[in-house]
Amino acid sequence: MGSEHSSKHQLGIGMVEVLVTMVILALGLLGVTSLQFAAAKHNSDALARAQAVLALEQFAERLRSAAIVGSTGDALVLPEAYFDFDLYQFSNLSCSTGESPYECFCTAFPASLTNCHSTICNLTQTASFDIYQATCQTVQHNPAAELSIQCIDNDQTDSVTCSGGSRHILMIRWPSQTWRNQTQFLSAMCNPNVGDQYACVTQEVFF
Amino acid sequence: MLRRSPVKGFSLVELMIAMALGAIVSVAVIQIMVGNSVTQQLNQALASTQENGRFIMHHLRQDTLHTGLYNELSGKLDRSVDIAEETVFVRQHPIILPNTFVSRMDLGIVDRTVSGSDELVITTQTTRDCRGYSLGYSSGTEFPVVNQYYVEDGILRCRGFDLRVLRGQKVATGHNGHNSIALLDGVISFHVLYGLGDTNTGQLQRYVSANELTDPMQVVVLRLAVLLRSTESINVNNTREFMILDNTALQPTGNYIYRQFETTVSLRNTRYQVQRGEI
Repeated sequence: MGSEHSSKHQLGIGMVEVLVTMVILALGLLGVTSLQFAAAKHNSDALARAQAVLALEQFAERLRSAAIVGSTGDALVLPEAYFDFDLYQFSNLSCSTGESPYECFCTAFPASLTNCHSTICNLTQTASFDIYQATCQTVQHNPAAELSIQCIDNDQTDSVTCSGGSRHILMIRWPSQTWRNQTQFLSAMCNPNVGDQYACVTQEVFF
Repeated sequence: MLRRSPVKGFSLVELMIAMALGAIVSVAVIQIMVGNSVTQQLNQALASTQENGRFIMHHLRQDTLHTGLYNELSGKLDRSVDIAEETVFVRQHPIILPNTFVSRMDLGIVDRTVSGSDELVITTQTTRDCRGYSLGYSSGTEFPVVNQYYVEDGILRCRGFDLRVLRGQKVATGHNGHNSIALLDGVISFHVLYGLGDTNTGQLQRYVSANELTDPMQVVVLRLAVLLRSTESINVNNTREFMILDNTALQPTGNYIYRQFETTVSLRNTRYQVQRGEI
C-alpha cells in the first residue's frame, strides 16, 4: 500500500505526438528544398542572361567590322547576307545525331561553310561565317537560345534591306518557364505571339 | 523483497522506435544540408568564373580598342622626339611582330597551340601603360606605349613599355624593373586572332593567327578568347570540349568548372587608315 498508489503516473510523449512532429518537420524541410529549386532557377536565368549579353556584344562588334560604305550614300550598311534568316539557328546546316546544337555544329567546322581562317572570304562568306560563330557562342551554354537580327529600315524606297542609318536590333531569346505560376514579366519585344514565353536580351546597333 | 519503482521509464521497444524515427529525421536533414552545400559550391564556382570572364573581356576590350592610335595633333602629347617620324612608325606597327626592336628582339605577338597561350603586343597612345605607370612622363602627358599581354603559370599578365625606350630614343625610367602585373588568375588558355581587312574598303576578309601575320597594318579586327577555370575546385565531370578560336578542340581535365569567353574588337584606328589608303 501507500507509496505505490499515491505516486503520480508520469506520461511520456506518445507515438502520435512523435508522428505529428515528424510530419510538420518534413513539411518544413520540403519548404527548404523548394527554396533551393527557386534559387537554382534564378541562378541559371542570370547565367543565361550574362552569356547572352556577351554573345550580343561580340556579334555587334563583328557587324561593325563587316559594315561597308553602301552604294546609295556615305553611311555604312551591312551586306545583305546578314539579313538572310536561313543563316541563323544553323538552318543551313543539318545534324542527324540529335545531340545539342553546340555538339552537333560547333565542335568541328562544318564542311559546307567557307572557313575564313584558312582562305580569304567575300562579303557573303564572311557573313555566314560570322553568323555561324555567333550562333555557336549563343547556344554554347544555353541550347535553346536563338540569335536574330531585325532592321527598322529608315528608307523603304530603295532596294537595300537595311539602308544606312537604320536601327539594327540584335536579340537573343530563350524559353523561360514560369515558376509556380508566378507572374513573369516578359518583354513584348521577344514575345510577338500570344502564349509565347521567352526571356530575351536585345541590343541596338547603329553604324 | 525488491519493490518496483513507481516511476516508469521508456520501455526498450519505445526507445528503439524513438531512436529509429530520430535517425530517419537526422538522415533526411543531413541529406538536405549536403545537397545544399554542393549546390552552393557549384553556384559559387559558376558565379566566380562568370564574373572573372566578364571582367577580363571588358578589360582587354578597353585596353585594345585604341590599338594603333597616334594623334599627332593632341595637345597632351609629349613632343620631345620627332613626331612626324613617330606617327609613321605607330601607323606601321599597331601590332608588334617579333624582331621589331633591337633592344628586345623577342617582344612581339606569338602563336602557340591550344594547350599553351598566345602573346599579344599592341601599340597605342595613352597617358599610362596597362599597369597604370606613366613611365617617367608627367601625369596627364600622352606618349606611345607598347603593351604586352601573356600567360604565365595560369595567370594572365601584362606590362607596358615606352615605345621611345624600345626604339633607343630615351632611357627607361619609372618602369618598376619591367615587371608585369597579374590581371587574372585561373587562365587555362589565352588566344588571339587577327582579322585582315580589304585594302580598299577595310571590310574584314580573313582571320589569321600570329605566325601567319606578315603585315600588321592590315589588321582591322582582334579576336580574343580565354578559357577560365573556377577558383575553387569542385567535383564535376568535365566531358565538354572547347573550341578556342581556330585551335583544335581542348578538353580540360580537372575538378574545376571551365568556361570559355571570347570577344571581338573592331580596331577603329587601323580600319580608318586602311580605308583611307594611308598605309
